[in-house]
Amino acid sequence: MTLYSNKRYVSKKGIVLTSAGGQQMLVAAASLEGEVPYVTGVNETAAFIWGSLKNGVTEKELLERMADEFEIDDMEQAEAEISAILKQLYEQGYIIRID
Amino acid sequence: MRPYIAEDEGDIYDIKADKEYIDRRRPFFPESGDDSYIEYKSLINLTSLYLLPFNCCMFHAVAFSWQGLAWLISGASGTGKTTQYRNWKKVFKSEISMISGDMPLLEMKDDGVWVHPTPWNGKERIKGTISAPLGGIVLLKQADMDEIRRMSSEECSIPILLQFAANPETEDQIMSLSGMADRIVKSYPVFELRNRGDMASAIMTAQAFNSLLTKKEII
Repeated sequence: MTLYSNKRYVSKKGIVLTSAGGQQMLVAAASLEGEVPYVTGVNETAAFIWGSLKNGVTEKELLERMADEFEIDDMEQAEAEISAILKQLYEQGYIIRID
Repeated sequence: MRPYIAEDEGDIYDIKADKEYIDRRRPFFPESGDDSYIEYKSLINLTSLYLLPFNCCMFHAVAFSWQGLAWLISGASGTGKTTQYRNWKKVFKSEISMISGDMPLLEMKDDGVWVHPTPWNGKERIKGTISAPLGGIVLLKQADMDEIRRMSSEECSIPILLQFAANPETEDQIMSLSGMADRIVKSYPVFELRNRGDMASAIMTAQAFNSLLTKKEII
């Protein structure tokens, strides 16, 4: 799959970002059984990205939001991390791309 | 421990897995074309969902009491939960009392988490009639050696969440379940037991529990 920085991504409905024991995780409602994993652990960056996906967001907008929220020394590395996380969320079925 | 006796009749709920529900669930049971099995699993799920607002949920584990506390042996099907219980019974005999052979009910109370029996006793049909406050949980993994270690709360949170016998349908239900998992992993010891299903692994686990009781890490 190729990711394009001007493509917009949005999270599927029925998935909740929550945490237990300090571990953040995405938990899917039963209506999504078979479409996405029931539970997936996520790191701090993925959790931040998830919070931005509800209304749709591009990679470029995500990078700008991350730069506002965190001190980023290496923008290329941050961009690569965002791409990798979006790719994983997309392949697992958590997000869809809207053109 | 206390007898499992309802204090009053309370509210009565009509929970049923009708044909439409079973048809909807059938694709998720590819290993079984047997509707009675799907109904059995569906009733457990539906009962758990009804009980969530009461801070209760069923949990896939063998539960027994020992030293006045409830201990849960959990893990994927076929990892030897019942074998572990039988080994404990051989070693500790009447010191052990069964709570539930497959599906105890966990109740989040102000004074801690309580473990209760339910009508679902698994294929071995081992059942109990007592309740007890939770002591700790063991997550089983089959291995060619016996080894036990305490898991961090972060590490065991997802495995614990996965053992709740409920498929949440709403955000509130998801938050209830993750809240229960959070409370358990932050308040109670969770161990990973890699084991061969032998007596030595049961004794090793009892020593780990005893160590916690001696240090008064469990009240």
